[in-house]
Amino acid sequence: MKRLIILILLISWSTFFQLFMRDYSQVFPEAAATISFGLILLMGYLASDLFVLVKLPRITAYLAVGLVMGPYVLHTIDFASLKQLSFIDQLALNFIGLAAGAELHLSELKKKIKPITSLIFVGGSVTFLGMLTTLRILNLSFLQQPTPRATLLVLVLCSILALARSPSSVIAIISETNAKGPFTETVMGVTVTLDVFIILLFAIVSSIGASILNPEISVDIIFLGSMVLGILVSFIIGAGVGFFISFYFQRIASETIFFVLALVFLIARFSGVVHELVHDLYHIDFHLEPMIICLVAGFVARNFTQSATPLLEAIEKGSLPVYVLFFALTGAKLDVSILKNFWHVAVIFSLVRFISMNLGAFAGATLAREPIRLSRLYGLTFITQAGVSFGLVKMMNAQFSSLGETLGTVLIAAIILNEVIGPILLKSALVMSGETGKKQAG
Amino acid sequence: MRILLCIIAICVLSFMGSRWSFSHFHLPRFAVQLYLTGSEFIIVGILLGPMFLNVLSDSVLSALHPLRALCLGWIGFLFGIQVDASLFKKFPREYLRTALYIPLAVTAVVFFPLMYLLETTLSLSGNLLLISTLVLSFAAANTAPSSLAIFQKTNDLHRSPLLTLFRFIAGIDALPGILATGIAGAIVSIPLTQGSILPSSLTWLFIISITGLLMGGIIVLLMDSDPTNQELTVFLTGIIVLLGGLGFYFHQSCLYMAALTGIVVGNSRYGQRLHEIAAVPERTIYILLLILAASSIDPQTAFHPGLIIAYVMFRLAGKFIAGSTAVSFWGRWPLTHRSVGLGLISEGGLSIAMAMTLQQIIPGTLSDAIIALILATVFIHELVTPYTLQYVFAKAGKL
Repeated sequence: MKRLIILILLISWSTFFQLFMRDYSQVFPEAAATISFGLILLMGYLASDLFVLVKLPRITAYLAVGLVMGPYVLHTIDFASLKQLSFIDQLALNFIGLAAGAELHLSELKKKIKPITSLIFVGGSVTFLGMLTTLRILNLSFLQQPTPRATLLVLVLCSILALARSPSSVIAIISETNAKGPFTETVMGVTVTLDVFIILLFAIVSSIGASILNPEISVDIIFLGSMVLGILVSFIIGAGVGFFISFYFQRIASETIFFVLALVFLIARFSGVVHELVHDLYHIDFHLEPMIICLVAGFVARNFTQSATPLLEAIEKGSLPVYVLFFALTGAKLDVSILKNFWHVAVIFSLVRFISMNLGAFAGATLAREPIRLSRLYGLTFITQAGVSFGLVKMMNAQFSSLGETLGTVLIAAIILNEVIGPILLKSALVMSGETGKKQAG
Repeated sequence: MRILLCIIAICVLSFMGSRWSFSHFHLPRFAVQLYLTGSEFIIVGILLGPMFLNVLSDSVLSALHPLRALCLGWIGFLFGIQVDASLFKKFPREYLRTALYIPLAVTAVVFFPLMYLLETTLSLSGNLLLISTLVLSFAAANTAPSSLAIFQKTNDLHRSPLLTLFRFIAGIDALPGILATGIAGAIVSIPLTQGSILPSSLTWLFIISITGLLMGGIIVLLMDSDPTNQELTVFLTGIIVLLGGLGFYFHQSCLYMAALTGIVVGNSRYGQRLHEIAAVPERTIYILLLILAASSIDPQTAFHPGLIIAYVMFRLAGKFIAGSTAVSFWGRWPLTHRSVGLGLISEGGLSIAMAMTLQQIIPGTLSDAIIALILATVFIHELVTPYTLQYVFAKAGKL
């Protein structure tokens, strides 16, 4: 109740100040961004308490606060402030990657290697085929292309896109619910690993697709090679960073949370510098994957050094503000008008994905002889989609502009839908698995 | 790209520097003092600034304004939370009387000569002259508690009543200066009402005071629902960033608003817990502030040696006269002798924060000169502080 009063007080107070700010907008974009930063942190945190009361995940509250305060609804956060705060996205994503890596416990993963492999390959294949077949049968208008080849390409790309999940949401929900156990470990292992495969698969299919649509273009081997190399190098750098983290925690051990935040940020910038350098020297798009670097670094520091405990403590300390800011800013960027215009197609697409995902997960889990109770739940944990999926759509739009704008827009609408519904389903599945609240106890 | 790399560079310097510089070294007394108070980061800041390495170029510094606002707000909040009225009752009444008299006396001594000097050297006039003099003379009254703590530790003076008094004075003597920054912002701010400047200034002062107090009340209200430390850190950061942003946006003093928030919180039953949480990043924030302040000035044009020497002399005279007259008025207790005011020479983060707030209120070359002035005097005062303290305590027969 008191938090509701605080929320009302803050809203009233910020409305009062907005009366003044209107006359002075565009004068200090940095100042406006600073105000937005503070407001997001406060509102997101307070609103999440209200959502928890109705059993909704906190990240849904952060998304909702961002959405409402963002430039598409109330305009409390304008586009200039969003741009000014864009560095938070990068920082948060890498932080979440580090957290995900640090949460993966090798000995636990070894025990669950069978269900993880089965859920990735069998589950992924069933979902992919389910999507492909259903979308072909439904023959939705936005999927139709002038040639059968182009239509097939669109169906394949959409089906791959449907496999993408949101590791950031999974980590945030697991952290929020303090879930721990074999089910949680499997969900995390599948989500994190599959994302790496999806990025690769999507790049391969896009490259082949481009040559199918236009026979004059050959499959870009250099592009594919540099992508694979980028991921491999990211793994190696990540391992090095993991040992560096351990060195810092053992020898200096000062201001650890600042160290972690500065480190993840440095990794993001380092990746950018390397890309620019390689491009300038060799004219090749060589991308290191900052999130993979952080993920591997967290995994190495957790499983191969003595710094697991201080690292997990530092991550725990920094996680709440990072989640609030990251998801609220994600919410602020969601263009709700897209959903408003294409909701009916987006609902159909999401429904097909939901059914295919659940069928695939059930098949994969059953084949790995997981308990039937858990096999039914895996599908619910894989619904949420976010950053990677948006990135893939962006990539598709850039590479296949001839496929039409509607396709990309509908896919974005479906992702928005999954981003909102996914965390709720994930939280419910974790609760039903009986593994929530185990982290503190353990 | 450069902006982002600079943030990292500053952060790394800050958190690693906080560990290295605050640990003990076997160096001459003045050098130890500089290391222990972290004053060497003034030089680091100047080196990183546009004149030398240009890592922190003008455009980068402009983009780093939110960080700067956060630092200012945090320092103001930390000061406010330590102004705990219940502590006043634990000390003799004479302590409070002395603690109130000395900063006001210093300000009175420094104000008029400084006003004349600013008018002649920096060609200031009107409101700019008034608010610059106001903030600088109140900043002159401020004493850095860290130097006193170091002296207490190195000389094992834990039970010295004189040092306890000094620390008591240092705990609250920045209050008038912080209020001065609030008034300065209200005076030069955008007009809210037609006609005379006074109604507009008073309205602004009222708005920012209410904002600071309201935020304090909100934090206390949140505390009633028993949040975790992590939740509190998020909430506190949110409030301070918000106040910093507002101060920056409207050219008001976020230092003043955050100090008011801190005072409300510090005088609630949750003061101790929140103080512990807010004090965690204190060293890092202080070093960040030093670096940002030092890098924002152009050493070739901002430093006015004559002004610096005169300000140091005015301040010394102010401290001496304040201590001396206090002894004349009320006798030798709790002060011990007439030159006791020289023990309050040390100057630190809050004076810099006041100068930076002034820069936020009136951006431009004038405020650069004022920041340079304060940075130089902080450096000089930290150099001489161990010796003046030694003199004062030796004369009082405490060493």
